Amino acid sequence: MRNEQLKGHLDLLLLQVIADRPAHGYQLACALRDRSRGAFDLPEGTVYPALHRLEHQGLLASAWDEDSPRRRRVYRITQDGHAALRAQRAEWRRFSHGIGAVLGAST
Amino acid sequence: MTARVELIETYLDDLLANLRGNPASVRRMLAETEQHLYAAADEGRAGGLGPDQAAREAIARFGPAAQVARTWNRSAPAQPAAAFILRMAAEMLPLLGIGLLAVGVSGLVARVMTSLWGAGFVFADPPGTRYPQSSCAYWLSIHPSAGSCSQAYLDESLADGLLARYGAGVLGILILVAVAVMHRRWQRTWAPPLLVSFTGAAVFLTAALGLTALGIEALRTFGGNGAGQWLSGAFVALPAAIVCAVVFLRSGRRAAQLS
Repeated sequence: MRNEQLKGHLDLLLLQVIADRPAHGYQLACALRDRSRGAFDLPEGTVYPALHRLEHQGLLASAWDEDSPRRRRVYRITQDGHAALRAQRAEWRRFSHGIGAVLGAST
Repeated sequence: MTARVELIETYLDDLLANLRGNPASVRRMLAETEQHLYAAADEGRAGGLGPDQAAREAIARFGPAAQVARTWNRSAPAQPAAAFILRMAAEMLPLLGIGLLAVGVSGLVARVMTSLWGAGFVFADPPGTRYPQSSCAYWLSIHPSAGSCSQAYLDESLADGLLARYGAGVLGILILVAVAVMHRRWQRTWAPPLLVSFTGAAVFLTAALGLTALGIEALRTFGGNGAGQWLSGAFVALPAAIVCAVVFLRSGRRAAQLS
């Protein structure tokens, strides 16, 4: 998938991965690539601005994990984040069904 | 410092030089980037890559520093107003230096015009201008060989006018040297932001047009008296505007490619 297309859905993808399990940035970048089987290959550094923005919006919370050998910033989803994820998933399903219906009708 | 560490540290320096925003957010972004790159490099090592190759791979996957910084800068929490104003002032400082240097160069152009067409072309007031007796006495006391009040005024204007422009040019050079030293100390290369190059192009173009209009007016109305003081400025402002416009267009194209 082209990076420009992916950027529009990055928030949804990050919220979903973090909702499954709290994670730090490197884990999230790897999870996006692995779970999409390499289809989502954004520059990993662009994940952090999105994480900070989501945290600024109150959808994520984060804290330094001092227990690991190298300290890491671990992100977890908030109540507002769960609500936003539900809304964005529903929106994506509507959009995806619509696209599917149009493409299906033309074949 | 090993080559692996040096690669990552150089990348972090490059990223820091491009990040905007409040200091706490920038520091956190940098700390997370450092953690990310070392974790990715460790994983590359575990996968069988050499230390340098693992670091290069980690950096390549993270993305070019300028691109990551651009993404960050678009969404970074706003800086406090005072810090923003201070930063903009620092960004505009080279432009101030260039502007003052341009004034200095216009002094040299005015000097050449004086040699070619006489001091009156550059510094004379409109024909028929009358000067107070006290001023005439003062100018004649400084330039006793002038012979007339208007010639003494011209001699005085020539000396003061050129000196002021040369002084501005020297000040401009000092500012540019200071900026270069600061950037070298901070190991930063000054990439003129779009706003700075746009401001430079707009200011210099406005100056070039305004000064040309004044020069033409002096040529038409005052028989050329004093036209050179405007035209010498326009002669320098126009190329400066073109240079700023080219820098603006190039920076804009580069920014569009990265976005």
